[in-house]
Amino acid sequence: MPPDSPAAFPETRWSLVLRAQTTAGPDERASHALDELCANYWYPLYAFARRREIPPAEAEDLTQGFFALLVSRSLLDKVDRERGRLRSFLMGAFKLHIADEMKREHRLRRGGGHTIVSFDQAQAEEWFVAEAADNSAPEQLFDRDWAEAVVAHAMRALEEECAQKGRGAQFTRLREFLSWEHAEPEIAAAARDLGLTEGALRVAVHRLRHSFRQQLQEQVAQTVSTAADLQAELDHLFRTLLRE
Amino acid sequence: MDVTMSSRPPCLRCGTPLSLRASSSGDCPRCLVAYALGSTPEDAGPPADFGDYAFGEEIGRGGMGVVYRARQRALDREVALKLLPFELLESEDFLERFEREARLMARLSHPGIARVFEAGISQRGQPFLALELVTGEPVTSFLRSHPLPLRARLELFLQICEAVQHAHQRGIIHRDLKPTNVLASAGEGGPTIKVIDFGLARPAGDHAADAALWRSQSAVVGTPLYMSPEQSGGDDVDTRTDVYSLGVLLCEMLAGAAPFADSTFASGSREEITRALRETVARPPSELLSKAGAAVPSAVSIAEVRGDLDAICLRAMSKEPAARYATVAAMADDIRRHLAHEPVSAVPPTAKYRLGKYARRHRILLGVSSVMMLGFAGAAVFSAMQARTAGLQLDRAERVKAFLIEVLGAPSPGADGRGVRVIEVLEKAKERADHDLQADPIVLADVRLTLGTTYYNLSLYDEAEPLLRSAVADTRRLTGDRSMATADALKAMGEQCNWTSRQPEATRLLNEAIAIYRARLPASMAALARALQSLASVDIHSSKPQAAIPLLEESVRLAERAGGPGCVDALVAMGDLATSLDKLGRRAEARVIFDKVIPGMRANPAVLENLAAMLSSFSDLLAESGDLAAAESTLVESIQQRRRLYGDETTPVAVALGKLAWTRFRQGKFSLAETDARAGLAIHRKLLPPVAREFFFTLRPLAFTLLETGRSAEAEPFFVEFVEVVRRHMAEDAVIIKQAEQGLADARARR
Repeated sequence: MPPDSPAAFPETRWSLVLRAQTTAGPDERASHALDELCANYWYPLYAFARRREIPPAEAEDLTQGFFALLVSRSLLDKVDRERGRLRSFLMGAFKLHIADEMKREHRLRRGGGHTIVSFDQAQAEEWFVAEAADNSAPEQLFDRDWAEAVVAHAMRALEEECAQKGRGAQFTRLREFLSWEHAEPEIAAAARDLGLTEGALRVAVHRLRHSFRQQLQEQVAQTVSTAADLQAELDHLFRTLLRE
Repeated sequence: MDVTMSSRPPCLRCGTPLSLRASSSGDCPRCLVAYALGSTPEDAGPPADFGDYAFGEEIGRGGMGVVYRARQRALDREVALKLLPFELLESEDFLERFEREARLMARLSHPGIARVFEAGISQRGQPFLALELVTGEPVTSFLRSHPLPLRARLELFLQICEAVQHAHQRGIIHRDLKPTNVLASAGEGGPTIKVIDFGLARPAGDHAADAALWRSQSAVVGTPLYMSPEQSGGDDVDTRTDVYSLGVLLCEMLAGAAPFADSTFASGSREEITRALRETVARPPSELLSKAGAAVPSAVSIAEVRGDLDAICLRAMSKEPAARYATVAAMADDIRRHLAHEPVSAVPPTAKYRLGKYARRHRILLGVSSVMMLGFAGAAVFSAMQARTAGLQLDRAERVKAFLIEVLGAPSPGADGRGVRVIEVLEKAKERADHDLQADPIVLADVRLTLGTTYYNLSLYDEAEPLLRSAVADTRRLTGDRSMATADALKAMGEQCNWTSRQPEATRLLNEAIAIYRARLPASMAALARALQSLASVDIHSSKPQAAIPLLEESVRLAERAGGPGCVDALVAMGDLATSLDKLGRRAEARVIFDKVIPGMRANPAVLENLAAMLSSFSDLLAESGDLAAAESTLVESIQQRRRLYGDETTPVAVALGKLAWTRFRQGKFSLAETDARAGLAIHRKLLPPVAREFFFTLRPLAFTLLETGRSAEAEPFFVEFVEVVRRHMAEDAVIIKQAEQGLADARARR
């Protein structure tokens, strides 16, 4: 950790990206981190563009173009270091990007020909269409999409973690137990399926929940650079999902 | 591409429309986050009812969980429901251990232990315990509101020990013994205790459990006051960790304060506190009481806890588990011994200490040794002095008493805060007497006689000798050769000479004392009876029982006239008479007296010691009569008496073991004989100087048993020693010397 960084907060993808801005020359770790962040969070940006009534193909171009600028670092110079949260930064920077592109009127089609992030535009469009009925503010919906992306990544990471420990089957069976408190018969049935005692099953569920919390925190941590931001971002996630 | 406008399907639980992404995986992000982050169970409010339990109010909280009052519906009973920390689950084998221990706990059934009704995992995965709901208050605060005297406190503590020992015997270690886990309440039959929070979820070496335990102790008392150093350091623990905690608890129950300075654990990391636990010397309760001073009224006095109880606490609180009591039962035994005024094992088993303890039990019998009581308990009673000083002018007796009370009555603690030993008190008094230029020289002579006699009674012959010698010289010079004071000094010196195998001098001194007493009858009647008995004892030691008999007969008559039939002096003289008659082969006469004296002694607690000796002599008679089996059982009873009187590792026990060995040897029970003889000899070697007369009793059976069982080479050195002992202590023509020499010759011949 650089000596001037906030006390004892571990290096995250986002802090790597931010730090790369102050160093000259290419930084492979930072570019790799940025790639990962883009891969994880492209959908909220795409959906945001679509909600601005930008047609699917152009929305994809916009998103790819945005990532191209990100990778070339020209956008990152505008990052407000004080705020330092990836979500806020992307939201703000993407809005500016859209405004810029609208002014330029299709000058840069299809991201200048670069495919920065590989994403399935058809799949994205399917998702987008499925939720088109919601008429909340686009910023709110962006935050919701973002939160759902965070949760989805956490679940995917948890699934991988379980698979690595040889508990892939257990994860599949117990996945639903992470979402709500289950009644006795459901616990008994799952215990039977997995060949565990009910006590052991409850313990397994508890541990899974514990791991999920850790993964969720880990995912959020990757998008911030200080401990204070982490807590604020977690609170934001919580409020966003439980609103309504 | 399917672009059908579909409305978002709602989550079946929360009703929130699910995004297509979410519904494809089956997860509702809202439910996931609400459930995972929404309510961390640890800081949730009143828990939701589960299973058969309906929750009531919170009744306790600590690092090991939160305890609620709850109703078990099916059984319609109130229970204490304890929710344990989720962190416990982080340990991989927690569940297996938890369930195993729960089965063990279910088997615990002891009035001093709160029952465990159920142990399990709640629906939300939290380990819980359903426990017997116990009322009562932490034992230390109970003692503040109920200032019990020392004995009652110790009895309460013994209840705790019994409960903990019960669990230990069933493989359960408590690991968190502290006042809040030992609840006391007043009952009709006196206060009772319940130990709660037993063992469960605290298996050795479990770091998560250990961390929780650490928080528990820190949270409650601010320091890990009751935690053993090894447990604090995260080392493996066994039942001795509970012994340590009990030591701290006992200390606090006696002194009302913890054995460590408040500042010891005031700050610092766990490592620092562990180091402090390992390095800080625990303060014994007497020191804590003296620190508290008069400002804090206490039901327990410093003098009461100094000595044994200090030693018991300090031993239990030893830093090294091996230095502690091996079991809680051993600690409890020591406290029981203390309550019975028997020697405790926590104090190094020196002969001086044990005899000191003996003297304390038998201050009436031992006469002047009761002066020690002043030093220990501050008792104003001085009964033995009164008996001995009957012939002194009253004001002189009072002045002797005043002098001793002044010197011995208020002992100050030693530099190390430990209890003052008898010997130290006596030493102090002796020096004071040597340097006091203002006191009446006659009073000082009496003081020296009293101190010398006390040393003699404690078998501290080297210390007694100069005091008694100067008492004889001083009384002769100051009161004349024919005074009662001179006679008392002569008699004391004569007894000293007899016991240190200087029989001719003993005979001379005692005869001179007897002549003085005879001239001063009737005032000297009791003293004369005792002097005659002492002279008879010289004859007995010189293997001249014939000469002892008339002396003893006269002693019995005089003693009965002075003190009434069945008085101590009469019983003691009768016992010696029976023994002497037996030695002369006049068994019928002896038996008549034994039959009278043994029940008399059983009825008189002041002569319990003599009863033990009498049983031993009676066993001699039985043995000589050929009834070896009866002799053996009588000796077994005698040994029991002696153990009770003096403790296991004492000379009287060793002597009786030797006699038992001889009886068994004579019955051909060689293996038993060898065991007894070796046990007795081991004690003798520990306590006695080489070639002491008592070795006769243990060397003889061992040497002959080895010879008889074909181990001549092994027997030979014992015979060498045996011969040396009998030549030193027996009359030249004693048969036993011939026997010993013959045995040695046989052992050498058979090699």
